[in-house]
Amino acid sequence: MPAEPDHDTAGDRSGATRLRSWDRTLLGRYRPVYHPVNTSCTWCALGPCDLLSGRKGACGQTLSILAAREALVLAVTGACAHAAHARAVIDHLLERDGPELRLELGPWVQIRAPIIELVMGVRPHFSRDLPKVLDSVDSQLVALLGATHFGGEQDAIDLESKTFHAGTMDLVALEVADLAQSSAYGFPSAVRDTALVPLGLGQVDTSKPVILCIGHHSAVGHRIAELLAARGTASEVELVGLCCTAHDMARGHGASVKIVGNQRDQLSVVRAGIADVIVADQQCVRLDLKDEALQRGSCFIATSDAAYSGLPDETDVDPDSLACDLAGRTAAGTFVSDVERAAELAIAVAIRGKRVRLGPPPATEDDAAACNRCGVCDEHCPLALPIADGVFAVAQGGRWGILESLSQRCLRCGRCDSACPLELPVMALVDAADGSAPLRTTVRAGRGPISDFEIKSAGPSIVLGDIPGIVAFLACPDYPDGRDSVGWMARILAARGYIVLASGCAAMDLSWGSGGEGGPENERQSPYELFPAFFDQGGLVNTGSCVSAAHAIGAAIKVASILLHRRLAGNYVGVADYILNRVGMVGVLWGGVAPKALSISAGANRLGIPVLFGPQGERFRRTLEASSDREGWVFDARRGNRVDIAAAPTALCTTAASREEAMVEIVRLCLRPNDTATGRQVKLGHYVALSRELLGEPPGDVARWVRSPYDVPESWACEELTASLPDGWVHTPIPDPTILEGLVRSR
Amino acid sequence: MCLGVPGEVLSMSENPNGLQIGKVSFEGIKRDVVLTCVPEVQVGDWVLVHVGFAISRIDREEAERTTSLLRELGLAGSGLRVVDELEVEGAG
Amino acid sequence: MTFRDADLVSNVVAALDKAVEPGFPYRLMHVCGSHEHTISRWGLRSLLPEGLEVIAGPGCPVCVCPPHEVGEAIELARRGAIVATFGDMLNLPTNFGSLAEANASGGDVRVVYSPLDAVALAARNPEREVVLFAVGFETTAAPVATALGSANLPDNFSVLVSHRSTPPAMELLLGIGDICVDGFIAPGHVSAITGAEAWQRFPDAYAMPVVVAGFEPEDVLLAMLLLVEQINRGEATLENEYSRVVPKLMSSPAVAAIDAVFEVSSAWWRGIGRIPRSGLALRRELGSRDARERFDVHFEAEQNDLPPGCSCHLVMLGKVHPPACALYGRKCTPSSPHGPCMVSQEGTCFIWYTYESEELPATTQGDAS
Repeated sequence: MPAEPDHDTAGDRSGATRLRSWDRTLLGRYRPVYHPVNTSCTWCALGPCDLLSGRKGACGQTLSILAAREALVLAVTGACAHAAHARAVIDHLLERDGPELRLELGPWVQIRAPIIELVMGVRPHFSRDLPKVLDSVDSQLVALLGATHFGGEQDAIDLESKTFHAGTMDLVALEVADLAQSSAYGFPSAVRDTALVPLGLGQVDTSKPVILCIGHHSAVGHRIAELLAARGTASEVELVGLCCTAHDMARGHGASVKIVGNQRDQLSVVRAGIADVIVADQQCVRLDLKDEALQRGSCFIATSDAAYSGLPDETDVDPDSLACDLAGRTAAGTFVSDVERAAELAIAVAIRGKRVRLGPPPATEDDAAACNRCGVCDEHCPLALPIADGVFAVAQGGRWGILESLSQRCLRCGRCDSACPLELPVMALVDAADGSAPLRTTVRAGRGPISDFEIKSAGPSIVLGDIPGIVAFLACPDYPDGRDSVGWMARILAARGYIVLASGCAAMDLSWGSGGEGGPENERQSPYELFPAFFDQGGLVNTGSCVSAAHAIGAAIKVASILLHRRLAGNYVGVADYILNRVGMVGVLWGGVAPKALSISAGANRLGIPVLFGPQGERFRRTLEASSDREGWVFDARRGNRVDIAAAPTALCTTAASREEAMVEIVRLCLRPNDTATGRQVKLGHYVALSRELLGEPPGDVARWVRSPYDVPESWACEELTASLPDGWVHTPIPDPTILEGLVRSR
Repeated sequence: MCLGVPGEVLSMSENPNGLQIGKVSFEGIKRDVVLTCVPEVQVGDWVLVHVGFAISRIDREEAERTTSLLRELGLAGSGLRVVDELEVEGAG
Repeated sequence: MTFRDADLVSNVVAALDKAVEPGFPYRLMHVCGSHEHTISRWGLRSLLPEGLEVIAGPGCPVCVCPPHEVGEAIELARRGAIVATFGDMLNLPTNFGSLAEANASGGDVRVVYSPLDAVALAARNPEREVVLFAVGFETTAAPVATALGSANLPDNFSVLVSHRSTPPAMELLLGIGDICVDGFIAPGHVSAITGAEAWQRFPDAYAMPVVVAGFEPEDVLLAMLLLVEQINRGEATLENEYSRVVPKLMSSPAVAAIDAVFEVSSAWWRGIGRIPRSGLALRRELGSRDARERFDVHFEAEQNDLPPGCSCHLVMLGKVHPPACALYGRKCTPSSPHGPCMVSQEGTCFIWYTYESEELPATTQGDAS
């Protein structure tokens, strides 16, 4: 199939409007609830315009429009970050492997690019097919951002529709990036037995020179690994990674790469002085990382022009002589954009030997002594943790308890450090209190896509509800209630037979948390060792880095395609309707914080996949909820009538305040109108049990979900059944659900 | 494998393996048929046989009832409620 | 027995003509190869009024038997066991070859009519292992279970279980989307084992009319009439047209025999995928009678279990009629079958090829490819 974009599909500039009608249908059911962060708009010189109490701005804007507009800008930003990353990936690979690189994901995956196929109507076969896809993404993102200009889109729902479209473009970019790199680097794909890779600061052998790669574009990291292997010097240098780069390096090189941690660990890791050389590219890299690194004496090599970091461009300098030169500089920072040279430089610096000393030594009572409990640190903590109490307790009586419990939740953002008027090393005190560090565990290297065979195998069970749901943990590690929270949730779900997927920072954090018997917390058995890495009941799958989140979305699309025997091209709305009504999948972005998190969630939402954020998710300006006083409805495609049912899923984008609430909400978000009686029984069984266990009482809305007595789990007692079915409860038949009038038979 | 053939039970006995066996005539051709699934069957009854096992007894009264209703259809036209609506206790 | 009477048939057809409301599509589905056989053999589709359609669902146990299980049987033959099989399975083509081919190349494959024939084989050949390749729906599972439960079962007898159960497949059809069905014709002989109550959840939970039907042409037509009348009244109930054979409740001895040796498991359906709770597996206590455990033969399901160009998966789901398949009648015929639906006597393609005329449509109404 030729790779010319089909101009009649959503890939074209007109695409944004082609799906508008679907967007408006969806947003009619899941109305935006605005949570404005800014109540006055400062976007133009006529402001700031105070928009509270129904006031309009100078351009006619209202508060909801402002919130919607800001959400769109965030979503476009996130999508652009992914699109730029994808562009960097394919530019490098086109240069390295040429335009005839065959795009392959192994024999088990025949539908290689479900998102691209669905959205753009094309099936890419070679590397040369990808730039055109990204060109289309780029032009649409430009149009979307342009619509946020002064006096642009004026309808909140249409702004939301555009936010959805930014999300869709984001997903396409993700898939381009991962398809390209998986093919070029030959990542093992869709297989269960990818390597178990060491994870954690405790796994790093600091007796050797350490090269630490941070960021998203893993080309330099790959090249370093290749060169070390080729020269037989891999054992002389410790190659480690942080964040998505680490995932991708591990996919390519297995356990010869170590993953130190994720975005949350950046500052601690750099301050700990383990890295002799730091190679950084773009996205999610702390803006003070270069300074912190150079202060510690690490050599810092920036490689992406998206993040020059104020460094001199020394791409054209010979790597060996540059290495020599850097050894003599007090601030050994440089920018090298060429992948080969950057890799050579990193190795050249590293093999000159250790240049950084570990340390500083852990903070002690003395470091806290001057604390006067002024509380400024608390005010600046994003989680409002009781830092002042904690530090003061150490200062006063050497009592570390408060800081220790706080250290489980601390995001290691360092705001307390920079806020403290006495310049106390607050974060170092928290780190010193952390009984679970340094972490020493494993994570399974990402396996990329779900195979078509796995879809065929598990698909019917998903659509019927026997597999109670697919839960994908994505996005950032800034959880509200502890770094072990996603691991805790994932274990519960996998043990209950859900399919658990993960990518990015979240995938690494699944390895935290209690589970397994005995031993110190930091050495507990990783859930990746406990649960099989297959897309089936009770499986736990790391798809890989953030761009691999496309595979989680792709799995939902493939369920629709493979079970429906429908082609994807030109069928976006049909597939989205199918997923919304029949595929019990939910994305959990428990720590979602970066704009990319919003763009991924918007892309997922438009495909009918609900997303659950932590409480900070409201900062993305809006949630999308089914109105609770207006019951949901679907068309019954078979019978041709409209039926009123409880809206399932109950929301497209929502938040939970605690991990316990999140667990219960996750299983509820997996309910679908299509559930068979047995499937509904299974899902309700989990819903009630978890609500009891974690919230202390059964859920109050059970009756909404019991369509007939066949839906009631066998384990329920009679009294429970009758209690859950109030007077006036009406039996509703299981529909053949769709929200598209066009799919309904006319009678 | 739904092919079921009706036959008449001519005689019954127990085989050395504890299975109730009947000699069943299929329009003259006699075969041994296992009757354990239809313990209520007696000599002279008709049974439906599948892979050498009787899976059900054929109720002649019901058969005649169905036949006469089919005949009446020709006379009375549609709208005739032909058979019992089944309400199975405990299922709803 | 006074069925198969031309007058009775025309009575029902006339009643159908009156009952079917014009411009109102009625799509009825059966899930039994023997029902398709009756329909095609007696040309019932040509008698139906405009707007009334009957579609074949996944009613052929040979057709849905996945090739990897045939592969297991062939492997057992290769290892020297006598593999006893029901006739239809012999020529089923797979990537491992067919059982007939395995027999021709040195394996010992014997066709049996009854499970007891396989037991007798084992008794007569005490020095050989005898494996019954047990394929079939509940109608066959009950006899196989009874045989397994009989006294003095020879030690050298075991079973390669490949039983499937229709109700979960029907639930999948309703849940999978894009299959518009207004009523089910339930298989009469499966119901003789399970009782008509096995279908109760369809009217109760899905508001789907169901009529249990026998296998004479009048039976099938009468069942269609009852369904049409239910649909016209906007009702959904379970009716039993086959009351002369099918009891209201399950056949206790048959079900007890099945429960004694089998438990429900998920099963792979060729062309469709793995359907939960749709198969049977031998209970753990009977491990020695389970050929897979006994000989440690466990083949994995295949990624592509139909030959290229084969549309059996669409035919079995009732999405298309056989003529829509590019291979049907050309490369794929009963004497040189490509897909399973052309092999079995209960396969829709085989039945159509044998009986149907050329004029019927290739696609069913509502096909949206």
